[in-house]
Amino acid sequence: MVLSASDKANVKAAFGKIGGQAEEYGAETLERMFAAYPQTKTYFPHFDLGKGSAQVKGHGKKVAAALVEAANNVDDIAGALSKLSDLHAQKLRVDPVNFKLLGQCFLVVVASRNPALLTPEVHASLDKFLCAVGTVLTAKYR
Amino acid sequence: MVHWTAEEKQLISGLWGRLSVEECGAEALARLLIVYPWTQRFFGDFGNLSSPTAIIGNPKVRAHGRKVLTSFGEAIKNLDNLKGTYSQLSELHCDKLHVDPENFRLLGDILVIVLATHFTKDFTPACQATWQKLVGVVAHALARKYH
Repeated sequence: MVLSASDKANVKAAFGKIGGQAEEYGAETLERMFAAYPQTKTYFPHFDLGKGSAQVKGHGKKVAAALVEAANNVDDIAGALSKLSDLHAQKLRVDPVNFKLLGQCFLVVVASRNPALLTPEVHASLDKFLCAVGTVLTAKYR
Repeated sequence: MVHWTAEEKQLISGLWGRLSVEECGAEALARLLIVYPWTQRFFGDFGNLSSPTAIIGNPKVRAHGRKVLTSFGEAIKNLDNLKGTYSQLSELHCDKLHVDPENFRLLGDILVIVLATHFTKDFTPACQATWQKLVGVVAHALARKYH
């Protein structure tokens, strides 16, 4: 699946509007993912996953930063996330199904915090973008 | 059988009582056709689906969206017997409509996003978790009679 010029523009604009709140979006994405898909917690046995957890906030910040980086380099997501792709393949080995779950939760965060931003067209572009990110992060798995 | 806590039932019925089945149904189906355009394969006779604007304004999309979400309402009234409630619809989707059950999961996820846009901060993580469970269970019930 290929991101069209308008998809790329939509993604850039969306992340532009999210701006400095990206970290909060990241943390809430994880919080929602752990609540809706408890099996995702298995990747964080070493974390305190309780409400307001500093570790979840910190990790949400990392996740958000990666998404922002990908959005800023939307013409070459594979290049931008190459090191993260290595990390996921060699060390983290998060099962590929989970990227869809994270993506769903990120979209819900955008939808609930900024419904006007998530028009059907932007929804489609962001969904494609999140799929592309997941594909890149799992590309070197085997 | 699926177990629903009192809190989950409250999160479901509380939200359901506040939403417009016509609006949300139309929006959910429109977004499905826009975000996952291959789902248009089931709606060849719906007329103009050539752009997001066309899809959103299409009266057949609106009507069918309303029909689908109305059926969801039946599920909500029968949370303790979803299998029974959807038995015939499951057969219909398999034998007559030939819909891949994956589409039920896609629509379910889209519905959750639509609810999030409507209810914003009231659509808490607990609320989302309950509704993801509900759409998953409905999708499962609709796929159950496939053969």
